[in-house]
Amino acid sequence: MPEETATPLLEVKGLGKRFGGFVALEGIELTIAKGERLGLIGPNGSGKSTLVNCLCGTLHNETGTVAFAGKSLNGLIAHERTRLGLARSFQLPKPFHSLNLIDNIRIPLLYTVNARHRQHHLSAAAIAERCEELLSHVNLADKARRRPRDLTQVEMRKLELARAVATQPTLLFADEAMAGLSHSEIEEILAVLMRLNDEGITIVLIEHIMSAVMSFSTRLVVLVAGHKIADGLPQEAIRNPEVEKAYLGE
Amino acid sequence: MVQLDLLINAIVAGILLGGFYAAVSVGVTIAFGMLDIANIAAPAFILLGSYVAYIVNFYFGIDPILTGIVAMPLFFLLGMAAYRLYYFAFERRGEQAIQGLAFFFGLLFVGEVSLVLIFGVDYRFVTAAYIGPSFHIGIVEVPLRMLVPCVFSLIMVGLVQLYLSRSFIGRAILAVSQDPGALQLMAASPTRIKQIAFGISIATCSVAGSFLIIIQEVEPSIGRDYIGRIFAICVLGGMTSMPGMLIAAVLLGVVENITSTFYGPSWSPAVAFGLLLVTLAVRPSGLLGRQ
Amino acid sequence: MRNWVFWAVLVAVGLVFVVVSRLTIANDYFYFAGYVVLEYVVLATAWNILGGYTGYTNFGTGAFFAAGAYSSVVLFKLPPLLLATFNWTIPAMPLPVMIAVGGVVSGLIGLGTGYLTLRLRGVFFAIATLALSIVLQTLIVNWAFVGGSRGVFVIRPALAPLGGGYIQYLFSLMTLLAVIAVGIARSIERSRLGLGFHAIRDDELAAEAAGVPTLRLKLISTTISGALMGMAGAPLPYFVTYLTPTASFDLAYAVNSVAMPVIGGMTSWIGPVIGAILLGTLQQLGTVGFFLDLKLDPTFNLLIVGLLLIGFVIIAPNGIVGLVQSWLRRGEA
Repeated sequence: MPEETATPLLEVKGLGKRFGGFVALEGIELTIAKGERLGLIGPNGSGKSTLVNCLCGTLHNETGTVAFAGKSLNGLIAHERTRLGLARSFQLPKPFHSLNLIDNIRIPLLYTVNARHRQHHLSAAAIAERCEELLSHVNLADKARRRPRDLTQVEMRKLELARAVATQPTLLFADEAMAGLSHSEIEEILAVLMRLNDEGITIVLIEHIMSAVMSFSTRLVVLVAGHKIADGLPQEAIRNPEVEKAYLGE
Repeated sequence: MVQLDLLINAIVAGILLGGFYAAVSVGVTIAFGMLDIANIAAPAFILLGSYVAYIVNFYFGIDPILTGIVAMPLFFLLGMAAYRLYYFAFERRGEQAIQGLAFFFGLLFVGEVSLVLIFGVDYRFVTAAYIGPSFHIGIVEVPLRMLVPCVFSLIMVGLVQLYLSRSFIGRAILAVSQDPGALQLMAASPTRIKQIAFGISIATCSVAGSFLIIIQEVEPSIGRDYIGRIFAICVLGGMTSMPGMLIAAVLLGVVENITSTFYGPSWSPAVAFGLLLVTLAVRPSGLLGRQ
Repeated sequence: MRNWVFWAVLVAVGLVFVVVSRLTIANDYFYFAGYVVLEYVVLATAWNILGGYTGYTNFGTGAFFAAGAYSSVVLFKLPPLLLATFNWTIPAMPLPVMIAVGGVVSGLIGLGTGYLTLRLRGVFFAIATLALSIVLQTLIVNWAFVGGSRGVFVIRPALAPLGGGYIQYLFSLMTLLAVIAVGIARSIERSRLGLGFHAIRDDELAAEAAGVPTLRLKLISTTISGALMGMAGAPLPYFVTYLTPTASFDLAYAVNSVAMPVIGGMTSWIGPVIGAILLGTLQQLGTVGFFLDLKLDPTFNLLIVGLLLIGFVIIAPNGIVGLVQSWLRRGEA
């Protein structure tokens, strides 16, 4: 249940991004409250991943402001934003392929968690423990010493999520974590995300799979051609005529 | 007054030089700008073209540019073969960029050393009717050895640009450079298109090499100077644009020639590389990773 | 093996090597050739810190190496210059100090080049290092104080420290540098820094998203790599006694420092060492006619190295270390 808090967790105002002459995003306004489960949908090329990239600092937005827990993110690059508490998983999993799973998880622990709080600096032993813990939360503990190339598709997605979770985020962007997965695999990932939300992490789910988005989200935002055309309760947003046109009336 | 005289001639010669530099860079503009293959071995292929023109000219007295053009199909096949190897070894496996770079570096190096072992380090040159004479327009001296390659170079770049924008394969190459996925939807194989494109890229080296040995005497190690020039031009020119490359080439030719005239030729290699470093540092737009 | 144990073993091996050689081998040629091979151990190891560990290819080893050499030349020529210009007398600088200075100079060059180009893709860094090599060479060629294109004579001190000849002294110094380089490489490998380097190499975007300050780490990597190369170059003027830009910027350094780690194996400290010792020794032997009594032209040697580089890059990208590892794994299966 989303809480009513004074400061929204994420506040986006007038965000715009161009690639040369092509306008990928324009005038994006978005507010995310702590604890929400936000679904972000839109046809291919509507700018969902671009928006995530801009918010996380991988891309630089030319216009607009982004504030996270009241603090402006303008000018901060990706690793600084991660250290503040924004995490994301990549649409196409990007594991560290020459390292085993434990080391894959160790990197965010060493470079985000340990870089964040001097007092909560994790010792080597604590880190090892936390790696095992995070891996077992996504049922990958038995493959801990294997390399990413030994993983199946869904396991790679789970590793991707585990790595994002390892940074101890307050806000997690799950970018198309379920594409191409079977029904049971989708349920598996959804269960992981629900559990993370119960533990207090605000989640933005970027997805094409409507059933998953509708069952998971407490609020729905729809992007079409770089503009936000709907923002509200899932059932209402879906019935918005513009949304219907975008998805059905091609 | 003497200074002005010198300056004008330096500029004119620089423009002609720039025209030649365009021929040298068009191959890498295709390979790197469009196919994202950092072919740092390009100077080796160009020098190969130079030496082929040299042999044919030395033993049979045939015009070097003619040789360069006739040899183009052979270089085209060589380029296709090189791409096959590159694809087999790297692109297919999705290997780290470092190995692809090491491959081309090895190729550049092996090329230079092979030329040294076969031809030695002596300077080689060709003879032709237009090497030697120059004509004068007022105070400006226009050496034919620079004018002829410049003119043919512009023709070649123009033809390449026409081909890329008008022919089916040419447009497919441009499409592949922007979005390989789209091409697959059209049931054309991106690999095949890339292979042809790289073949064209190396074919231009044949002609560029013949221009090189007309403009200056050639020995194997001068290839290294050209890496900086080629990539400086490519980067300054915006990577994929032929007109941009042409402007960048002329600009570099002029700056280099002015520097050389007033400060001595030993500084000219540094101009291109210095320009490249500055451009990379200051104007990285379009270079910050491909979307 | 704990890191300090490794260092202890490494230093011990180095000491034993130097002492045993000095006591048993009188042939000067051994020390000349050994110096070159050890020099390559340092260069290959240094290259691999940026190349193998962090994934950024450096084609301009010559630049960092020569910067070290020429900073020594400047320091060598400084006392007579100060005496002639200001009538100041300063003592001649001992070689270990020159080595340190060479390291600092090349480290700064690495930092500078990195700062200019490391925000771009790896391929632009590689091209920039090529550019750097040529620019630096042009600068040196035009700098009369260090001899320009005609070169410069450097006189060895009359007395070599540690007794024995000067070449033996240089040999001992280079062994020390090799120990330092390998020790640093292995320490990095085992550390948080090394893990960060590997993350950058594997996937820079993902590393950045995971909280790794990629630019800062890349700059650290470039600085360490450049500094070690500069240190390897600093004794060069005393080794050759007559230094020219062509010799110090020799493409052989660039190619060998890429080929040795690639052929030896880029994933571990031992790869560059194997590559350097193997290829370095083969090249030295080839030059003196060890193979079929053919006095192989150094150029021919380099052709072989180039071909081996291409071959390994295509067929065995993980080098000899990789081949051994997969052979062992097959044995296990």
